[in-house]
Amino acid sequence: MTAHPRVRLDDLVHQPVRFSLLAGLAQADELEFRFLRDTLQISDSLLSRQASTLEQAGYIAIRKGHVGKWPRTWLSLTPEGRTAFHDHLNTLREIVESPTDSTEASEKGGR
Amino acid sequence: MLKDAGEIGTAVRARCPQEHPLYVGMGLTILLVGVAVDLNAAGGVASMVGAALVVVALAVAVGTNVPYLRRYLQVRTRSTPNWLEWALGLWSAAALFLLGNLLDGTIGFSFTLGGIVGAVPFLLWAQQLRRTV
Repeated sequence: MTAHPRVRLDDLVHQPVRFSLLAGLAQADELEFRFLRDTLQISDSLLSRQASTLEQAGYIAIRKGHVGKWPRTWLSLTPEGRTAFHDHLNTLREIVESPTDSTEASEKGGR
Repeated sequence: MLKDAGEIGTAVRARCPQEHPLYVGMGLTILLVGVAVDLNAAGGVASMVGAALVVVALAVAVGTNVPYLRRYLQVRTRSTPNWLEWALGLWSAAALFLLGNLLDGTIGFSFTLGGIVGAVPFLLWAQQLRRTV
């Protein structure tokens, strides 16, 4: 019997803010910190904390620069992050799209 | 969770900088500069029209580049490879000035012709981007 797809879910990606952050980054090469903060509707500190967690895991890269004299921060997905996000997304879809199979499997397992 | 991710993806895509207006603007700017150079050489009222066209060309360049840049600073994504951007720039400069100078004196509106030749690849690339992005 094959393992339920949920065992393949990445805990690091599964946290809602981090998942949303990666979903946004998957659509562009780089996103600016404030744009992400506004799009995700979260505070600076929360975004900063979750971004640092993902950076430490090697899933995103954080680049600091300036626009004129104003400091700006851009975030981007690393190849590892892109793979982890897409794997996670596919697993979620797999779970969502085969609810009957998983229910049947759990019912059989329960008997 | 999937729905939220979809909504965020849509929000980011909606804010992506549009490249095809940028290349239409660049094509138009090169074309206007070509016409302006010819008109300025003619002197008189034509020179004034030429100067006005330079202003229009600058307005087109600013009007397309500034909104693009403002979006690009937030959402960075590029569909045009760097080498193509260089090739388009070099082609337009060569067409406008080389063709214009080479044909100057042999045919009328030589710089306009150079501008047209220089603008065509920009407009074709803009059309390609509009279809694919």
